[in-house]
Amino acid sequence: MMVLQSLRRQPMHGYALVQHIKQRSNELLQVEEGSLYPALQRMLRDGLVKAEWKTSATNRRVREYSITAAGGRHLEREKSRFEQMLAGIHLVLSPTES
Amino acid sequence: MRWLRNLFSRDKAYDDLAEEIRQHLGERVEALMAEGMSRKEAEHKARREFGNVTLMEERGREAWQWPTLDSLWPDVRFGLRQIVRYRAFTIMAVATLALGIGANTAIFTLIDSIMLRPLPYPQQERLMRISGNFPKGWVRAYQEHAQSFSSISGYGPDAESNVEGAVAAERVFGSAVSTNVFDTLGIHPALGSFFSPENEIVGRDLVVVLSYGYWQQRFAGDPRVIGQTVRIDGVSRKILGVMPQGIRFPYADTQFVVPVSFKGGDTTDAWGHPFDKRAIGRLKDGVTAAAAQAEWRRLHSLLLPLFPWVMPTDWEAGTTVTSLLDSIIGDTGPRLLLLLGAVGLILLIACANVANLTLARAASREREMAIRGALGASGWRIIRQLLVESVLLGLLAGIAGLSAAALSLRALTRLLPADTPRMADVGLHWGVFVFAAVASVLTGVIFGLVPAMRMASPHLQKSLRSGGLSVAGRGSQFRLSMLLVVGQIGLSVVVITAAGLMLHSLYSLSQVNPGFRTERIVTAEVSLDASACRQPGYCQAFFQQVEQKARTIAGVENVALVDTLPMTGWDLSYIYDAEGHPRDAKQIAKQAAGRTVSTEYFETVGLKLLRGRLLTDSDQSGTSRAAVINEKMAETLWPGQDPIGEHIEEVADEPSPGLLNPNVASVVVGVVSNTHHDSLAGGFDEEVYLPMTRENEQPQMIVILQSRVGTTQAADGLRRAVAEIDPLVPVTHVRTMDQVVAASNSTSRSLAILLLGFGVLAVGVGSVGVYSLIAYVVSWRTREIGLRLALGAPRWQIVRAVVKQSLVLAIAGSVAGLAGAVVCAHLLRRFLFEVQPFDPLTYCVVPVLMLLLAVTAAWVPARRAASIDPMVALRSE
Repeated sequence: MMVLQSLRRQPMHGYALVQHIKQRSNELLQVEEGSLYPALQRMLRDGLVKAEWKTSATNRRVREYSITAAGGRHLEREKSRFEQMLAGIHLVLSPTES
Repeated sequence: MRWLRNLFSRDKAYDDLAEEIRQHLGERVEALMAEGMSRKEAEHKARREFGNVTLMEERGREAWQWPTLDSLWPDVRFGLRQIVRYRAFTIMAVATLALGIGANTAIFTLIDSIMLRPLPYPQQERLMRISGNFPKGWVRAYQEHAQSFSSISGYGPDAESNVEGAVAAERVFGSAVSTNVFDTLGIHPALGSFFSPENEIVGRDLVVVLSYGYWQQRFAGDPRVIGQTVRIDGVSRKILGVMPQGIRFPYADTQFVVPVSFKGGDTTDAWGHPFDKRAIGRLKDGVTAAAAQAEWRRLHSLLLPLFPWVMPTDWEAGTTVTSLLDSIIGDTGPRLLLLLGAVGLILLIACANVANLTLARAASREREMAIRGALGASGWRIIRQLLVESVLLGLLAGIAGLSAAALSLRALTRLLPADTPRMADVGLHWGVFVFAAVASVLTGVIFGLVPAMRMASPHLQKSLRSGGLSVAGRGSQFRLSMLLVVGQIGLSVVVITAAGLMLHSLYSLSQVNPGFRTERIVTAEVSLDASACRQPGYCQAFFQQVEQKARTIAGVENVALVDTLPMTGWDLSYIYDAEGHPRDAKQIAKQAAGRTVSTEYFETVGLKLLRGRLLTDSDQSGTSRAAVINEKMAETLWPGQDPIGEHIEEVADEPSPGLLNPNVASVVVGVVSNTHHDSLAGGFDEEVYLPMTRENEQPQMIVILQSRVGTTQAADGLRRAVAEIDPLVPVTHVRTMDQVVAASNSTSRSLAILLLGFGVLAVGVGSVGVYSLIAYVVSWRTREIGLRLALGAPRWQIVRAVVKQSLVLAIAGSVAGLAGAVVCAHLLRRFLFEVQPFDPLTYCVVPVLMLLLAVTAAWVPARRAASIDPMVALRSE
């Protein structure tokens, strides 16, 4: 979800994605960087993202990922589901008034 | 089609991924170096942050694969390479496991064929056996009234008949069945037709239906037999049809069936003696056996008044309705499950053995695993690969075991008790293959899991650094192996204890005195046609002649006749009322075993006269109405009184209340000693001996010869003697009395033999386990032992230490095994005779045996340990 959201703003390659997620979450989310790649592969397989080899600003051969239409729809679905879940958790955790 | 495209584009996807990860790391290193780190530090940090590169790459690749199959294939290939590489290990492991899987498959084949496979009738689950023995009119009345069954049929006992042949008559098993029996069973003739309802009428009942086997054997499968006549017991019957192949009904040895027929208007014909019809029924749709049984019992009181006399209300009141399959399986079920339990334990022992072998090999593969771990293989990944290896071994063993089971099946069926049902159906069916496959895979998982889990958690650095060599073997290394060996010994103890209990039980059984003489006694059956006695006195006169002629056979000292031998499982019931024992409307009559005997019977088989007198030749005229009873009957009927002169009267039709007419009743003239007549295991039962009078003459009698000459010689003499009187009369079932008694406990014997065989197998595999562990430990400790010897330890001390280790294992295993045996012995209780489940003898002998085995198994490795040359051992480093 985070990956798709990041990609919606602009296409990125793997390393940039990791840095982007780290920054955006104020370094709160510390994931193993490597675990991004299996996730990207799965999204690639399911057609949620597409990839293209490009040359980066630092003159490196990088594979740039961008979100597809299907990916966008998937993101919306996931987000609303996640929000519902959060709301639910919140309701359960908040002190009851009765 | 995406998967197909995937298949081709996959390699590219993999390359892309690898490249991408390389670039990622490179970029990170650059970024870190820009922050001022040295290249080396940056590379370290980048890798640490990234995580396990190999694992991530693999996970990424998995996205493109059929999840399990694809990643399994390389494992399978690798496993096969390992199997080929470690050839000695493979042979050892496969042989051990094949033994276990083979034994299990063989026993499962029996269970599948005998207990699980449906009977060869359509919708066989609706076929029910209705317990009890009824007159034929009773079965017909139920067929007319019962709503639960769509059809009910009766069938008579399994009886041998004379079928006229070219030379002498042939003895062939047949049975009388209701004319609707084939409709009830739902089968169609292989040839000709089955009975029609009119065959139920006396006069139109002279027909016969042959079994497929008899048709093949006697008529060579000639289709022209239909319509021909065959003489059975002196009666010509027209052959109507042939049953389909594989149908054995009502009994396994039935060769022909004739219709049960009724004399129109004759009520005693339908309701009178003999009460020998059993019943089967086909349930209607949706009716349960319990409902049918409830209805049958409800109808009991309604139909009882149909008898032309008053019947006791207790008569056959407790009828049960059970599935035909269950009633055929009978006692065989628990026996087969017992055997399955034994072979199941053997398989576990084999698994433990191979697990130990694998552990021993694991030590040499420790570095291999450590390198894999260092290269990024996850623990689960290593476990999976090792499990694939062991499952492959299991499957190989399964194939070997299945072949062995198929080959040994014939031998195994010969070892089974003679009364095992559905023996002819025993064969390999698809269920067996499924079982073998499941057993193989499970076996692979069971023996592979422990070593795999152990190997997958190696201490990376330690393994990589150490050359695997140290002066003293690490004790903890063998802890798991020792545990497995203790388990093996324990399981062996369970199996061998079960076998020991059965053997002890068999021994007790063989020590039982049957109550009659068995030495030098030859018996043979002489059979007239069943219809021969219609001419009153014919049978009596014939057998009196046989007895006289038999006395002239050279070497024969004594001759006697009896209608049924004791211990054959076939006793004729003598249903009677006794003086001083009035019977009310509810009660059924008393029952004893009745034997019609010639005068010499008592002396020939060695029965002792306790009171009164024995039967004499003059009693055969019938005027004295004399009867001799056994001690047990005298004590039961007239305890503490003199039974001589008391009256008993046979009441085959059990009218109620009991009527004792002293003018026709038999008079007790003597009391003789008890004999076992049913089985050695049972207690004594009431028994009546009646003289061979004209009233109770029988078409077939057993001739008992007490002879000084051999069985064949005596039998030949008897054949000649009988042929002199009537050359067409067959003499069959020649057996010594010892054989008769031995046959009576053949079930216990074959169970004991099978269990003993499995016990030997279990102990064998277990001993190999002990041996290989001890041998392995010794080879591991070669250097340590060499050092000890060099330091002056005497060689006997080394031997002692090795043997002690083996003994400790055996003791621990025996204790665990005996505890397990105590639990299992409880289940054995029903198979045991005069042996407690906690039989002290067995429970002492078995551990001693295990200790002896432990010493034997340790002996060779111990000798090898003691003969180590210290110099060679120390230099080997």
